[in-house]
Amino acid sequence: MSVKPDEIGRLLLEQLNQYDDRQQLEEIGTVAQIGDGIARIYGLENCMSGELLTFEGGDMGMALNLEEDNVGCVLFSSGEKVMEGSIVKRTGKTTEVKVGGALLGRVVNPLAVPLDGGPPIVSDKFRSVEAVSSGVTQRQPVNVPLQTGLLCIDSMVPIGRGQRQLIIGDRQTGKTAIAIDAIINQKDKDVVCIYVAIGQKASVVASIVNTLTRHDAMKHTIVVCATSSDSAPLQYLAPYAACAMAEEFMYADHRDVLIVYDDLSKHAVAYRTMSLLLKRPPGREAYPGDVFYLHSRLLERAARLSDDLGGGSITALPIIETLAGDISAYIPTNVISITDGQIFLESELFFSGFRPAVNVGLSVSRVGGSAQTKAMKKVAASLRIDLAQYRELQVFAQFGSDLDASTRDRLTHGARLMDTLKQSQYAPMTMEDQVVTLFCAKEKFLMDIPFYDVARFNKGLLTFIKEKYPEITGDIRESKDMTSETEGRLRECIEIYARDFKVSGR
Amino acid sequence: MLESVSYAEALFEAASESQCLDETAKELQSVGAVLERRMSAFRNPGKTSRDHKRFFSETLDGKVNRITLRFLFLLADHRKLPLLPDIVRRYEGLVRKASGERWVRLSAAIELNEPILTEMKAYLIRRGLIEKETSHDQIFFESVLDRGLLGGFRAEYEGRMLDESLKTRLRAMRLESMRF
Repeated sequence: MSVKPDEIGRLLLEQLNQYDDRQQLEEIGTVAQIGDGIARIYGLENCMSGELLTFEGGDMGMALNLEEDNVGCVLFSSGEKVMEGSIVKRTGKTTEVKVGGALLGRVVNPLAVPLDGGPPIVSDKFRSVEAVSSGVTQRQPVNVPLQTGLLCIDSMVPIGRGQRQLIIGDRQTGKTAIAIDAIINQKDKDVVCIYVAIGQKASVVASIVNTLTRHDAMKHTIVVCATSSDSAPLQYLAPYAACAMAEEFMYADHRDVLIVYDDLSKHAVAYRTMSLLLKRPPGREAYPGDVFYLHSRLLERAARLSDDLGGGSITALPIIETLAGDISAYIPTNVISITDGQIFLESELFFSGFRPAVNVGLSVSRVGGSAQTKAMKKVAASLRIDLAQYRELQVFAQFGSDLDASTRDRLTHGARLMDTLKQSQYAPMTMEDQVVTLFCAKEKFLMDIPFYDVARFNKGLLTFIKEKYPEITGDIRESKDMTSETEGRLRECIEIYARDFKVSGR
Repeated sequence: MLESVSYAEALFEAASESQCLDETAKELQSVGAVLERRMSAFRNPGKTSRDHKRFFSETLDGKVNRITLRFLFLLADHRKLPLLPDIVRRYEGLVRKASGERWVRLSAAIELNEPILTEMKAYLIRRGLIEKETSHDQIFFESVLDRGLLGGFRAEYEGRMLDESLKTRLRAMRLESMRF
């Protein structure tokens, strides 16, 4: 950005001339107590809940507790300059954050201050971090798919634009990897992505940013970062600020947004810290009474707007970390009940090499089914049942060695399906590739392929189709359906490929 | 600070009911001055509230009014005697307000003389920070010398502030220029 010195001089002169007109009486209070990032302020009788307050020395804070004789305020900075007796001014506005296209490709903190070493964010648009979610009449049903590029998710737990889909699992089960894959898959699809890191290590965030940059996904992504070394108020604010940024794209630009909250367990912990310091009464597990509302009001802001309002959407992927697979803990059950479905990841699957480690039995998408393409619906319809039967048979098969042919077939088919659903990280698949791969597995073309060659077979098949029969995937992509004619051609094509496929001599 | 306000307001209510506002103020001022000199004794955790109360009974009984003495006993019971100077200051503010005195805290980078203060009064009324004086109330200034303001002034009155100091102007300009 080039700035002309004479232009700055002119603007400053204008401001100087108009300065007296802008002088206003300010309502002030004094700091009665300060500590642990919380200030108790005497005065400020007309202060609003959530109002932004400024302290002498330039520190900022947000009024959260309006009590009879004082205001409880959380500070966004270390507050080293704030002392007892310091003057606090009202700003008359609730906490706002800079929004707009200038944030794309940037790593910022929840106050939109750049953390990537780049220039300051230039934008004259601001939005309140707390906003009322869209009403019933302003919305339309979720019926447009948001492809994650992950076969097991797009086929069995599909996500629609405007949906809230929880990603839940123990630590080190690949929760963030799923979210990052989904962001990478939005490249060139006109979907803005926002990744919110709450209470994570700065090194982890740095590696995520590197990954996104490496896959050319940063240009459509904003990373909002409140690391574990940031104050609890900043961590608390991060998802709301990110949601305000997303709302600008949805309401003003009518665009689709994918927002990942990584993770809401740490967000709840930050809120608990803040609430206890504000002396709010503790409830179960010392969380305050409104911890459900904390997440429900955030996730309710995800929506798909009606066509009258431009039809933009916010799809939310909140992440929750469980302890020892316990999904019946306080925060997980809260968020499960708020969201429109969950993707449950299991350590056991992860370490057995099935990645993404999605437990398809416990994972569900309540509204995404109507967002699936016809082609996908056709090939994925029986997938869940087949896998459920396979898991059931697998348990019984462990007790006996003599199995009839039909049971053996079912077990082999199930095992091939499981192998088909395995997918490498950062390798999202297009919808048509997913349809072809699933069709091949569903129609039992993999029965004679050894398990160690399934991935090679699938990969080779897709390359073969792209080179020799591109019209098949083209048809699926265009019509989003699989006609009987396409099906016939695909069947022939797979037969040709399977005939020439050489099993590796392992 | 918050506790001082609550104690001062309670004392003000009790004293105004007994119609001894000024008397209580004077008595507490002198007691407060003595306490400030002997504060270490009152902070001594070895001394119980009974010791403090005995001290007050022996030294003040019959010399101060009933409300003052009972108020000191209450502070001793609650172990809040170190707050007394702050409570007295706030209580005086309430008494002044009740008697129609309006005090404006005026900070400036230079000493303000009488003619300037008179002009300031008119200016602050014009700007709406304070209302015109009536037969019931009068405006007084508490002048504070604050060279950090660089120039201009800052006036505070009943939770509102008019900040026309050079320091604030420069800071606002700096923030504005950061937007370019």
